[in-house]
Amino acid sequence: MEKMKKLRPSLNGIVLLAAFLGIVVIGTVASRNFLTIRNILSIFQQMPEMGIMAIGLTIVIITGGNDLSSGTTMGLCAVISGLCLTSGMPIALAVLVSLAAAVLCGCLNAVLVAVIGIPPMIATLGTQMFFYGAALVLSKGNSISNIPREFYFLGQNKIAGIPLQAIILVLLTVILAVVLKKRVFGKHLIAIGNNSKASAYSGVQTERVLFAAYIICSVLCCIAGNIQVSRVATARADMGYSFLMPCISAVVLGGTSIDGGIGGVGGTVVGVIIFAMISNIMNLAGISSFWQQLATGSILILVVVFNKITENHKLQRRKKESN
Amino acid sequence: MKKLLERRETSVFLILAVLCIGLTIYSPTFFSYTNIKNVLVSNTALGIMAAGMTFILITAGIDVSVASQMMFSATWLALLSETPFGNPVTLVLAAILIGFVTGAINGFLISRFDIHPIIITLGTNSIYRGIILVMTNGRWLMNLPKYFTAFSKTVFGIPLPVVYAVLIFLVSAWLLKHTYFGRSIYAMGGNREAARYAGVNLKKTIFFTYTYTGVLCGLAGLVLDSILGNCQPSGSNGWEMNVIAAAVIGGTNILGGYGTIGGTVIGVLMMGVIENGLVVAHVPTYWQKLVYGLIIIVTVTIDVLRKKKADSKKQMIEID
Repeated sequence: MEKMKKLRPSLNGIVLLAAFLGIVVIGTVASRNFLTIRNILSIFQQMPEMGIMAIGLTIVIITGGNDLSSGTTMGLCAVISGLCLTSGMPIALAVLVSLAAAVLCGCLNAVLVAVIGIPPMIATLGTQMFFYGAALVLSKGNSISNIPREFYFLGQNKIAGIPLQAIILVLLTVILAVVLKKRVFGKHLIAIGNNSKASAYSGVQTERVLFAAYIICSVLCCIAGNIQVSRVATARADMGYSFLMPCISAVVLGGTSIDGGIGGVGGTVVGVIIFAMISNIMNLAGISSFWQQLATGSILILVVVFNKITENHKLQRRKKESN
Repeated sequence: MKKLLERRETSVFLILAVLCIGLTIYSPTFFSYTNIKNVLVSNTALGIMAAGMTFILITAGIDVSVASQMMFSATWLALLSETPFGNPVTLVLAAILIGFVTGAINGFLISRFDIHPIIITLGTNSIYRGIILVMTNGRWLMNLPKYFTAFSKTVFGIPLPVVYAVLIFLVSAWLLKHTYFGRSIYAMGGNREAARYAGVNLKKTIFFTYTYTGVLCGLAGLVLDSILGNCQPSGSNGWEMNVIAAAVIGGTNILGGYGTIGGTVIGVLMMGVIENGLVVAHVPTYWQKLVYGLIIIVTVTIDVLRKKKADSKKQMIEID
């Protein structure tokens, strides 16, 4: 319901829905196996990792920022939790340690962006490399296997036939959607994205809000990392590295403005599902994964350009009306 | 004022000198002809791209597709050399043309739609990389012909790639200092609105900047192929970060308005020496990323804090 209400009025919502249905149709035509319960479940087993990271990224992008380090934060947290687990630490403690690391990552980003005032893209470009390096150093460049079996529940269990991580994704999405729509904090996030100076003058504690936004993003990346460690039973430094591009694309595709101020997490999840379906169809049709890279890049550019053109149209119309 | 600005490059240069002396004392092999030659040659492609990146950063833009553009050119050139049309002349022409096309696509999308360059170049980054991976199916192109690797011969003890890099640095420095194009770039990065009112064509300047960088990436692809003697389409992933880091270390302001080719050259040498130094000092290679990341964060922080300090001294009237 929440999602439908948000999608109805905007042009982007209509485009998103059309793209979604179009891809479902293409998938059904391209492969008999696409619209089977088994395949859909498998999509929902793999997609939540990217989805959780993308909704975290949405929160940061709504503030007019960006977190290019999100992918490597995921890798770093995965490695930390993997190391803790293999060292025989209890599962809860290992996850907690990785969450603490994520909070630190988020704080570092927030200090660079909110306190020092480095443009978010550049600050997080630096931390991207730094976190990746840290993950490589911690794992000594190797992948960590022998994750204890007890940890598999997070990424491999099903509740009533639905993968656990899909339930986590839905829960997190609903929580963040409610926060964005109904809570003061959500309004502050959007206000900062629209005009950070104006919101600071009207009493929003921009620094504090930005800290929260970057920490939320890092923590969600950490959750995604833990889920992937559990699902594939290994931890590697480069785990989330390839997620960044599709995640940003999904956020933009989902109707969040890359300049901040507009957007929501519901659209992002639909965007991620669309990308997941595209790669699923390509896999089913036996098309090489190289095409997926080409497809995500093209979709990102098309969507951003399309959004910009419609935005400019609107501006021009408004100008004409005011004349 | 001028002295103050020059200090940034000199301080980096001094650090570089101290680093070199330290490494030489630690391990005499560092200062041998072969090692120095290796450091220089293996960083020529990086340096050529960094020259272009300097232009872009001065306009307050960014291009994260440089490594993809380089590999795009490198892969097409390797494929071209497998056909009967392959000869030194067509290779150079093709390198320039391919770089021109990839750069112009970036420049067109960024200047026409006024979208943050990082988004556009993130997109084209995967497109260029995707195209070459699809085309070659990820296969390595081995054993490039003799006339191709001849581009990186050593003549009179001087490796040719270094000569190309120096030529490109000189041309770039001349463009930045002594042409209308160069002055527009500085003006734009210093204050976009003011530059526009002063009659600088912003769209054209942006388009030229990205196209010029594209051409340099195309040439970097040629140099890289000839040095390696093969071409790995999935290779040099993440080099864009090193390129940005080199320019930033060399004093180019990531917020635009300031930067010199001389500084970038020092930055490239610094990156090369650190990489080599880690190897010489037997530090595992995976420390490299951590060190680079740290360097970027620290230098950018210093830049921003400096700009803040300078701004607070000025009387500012803000009109939004």
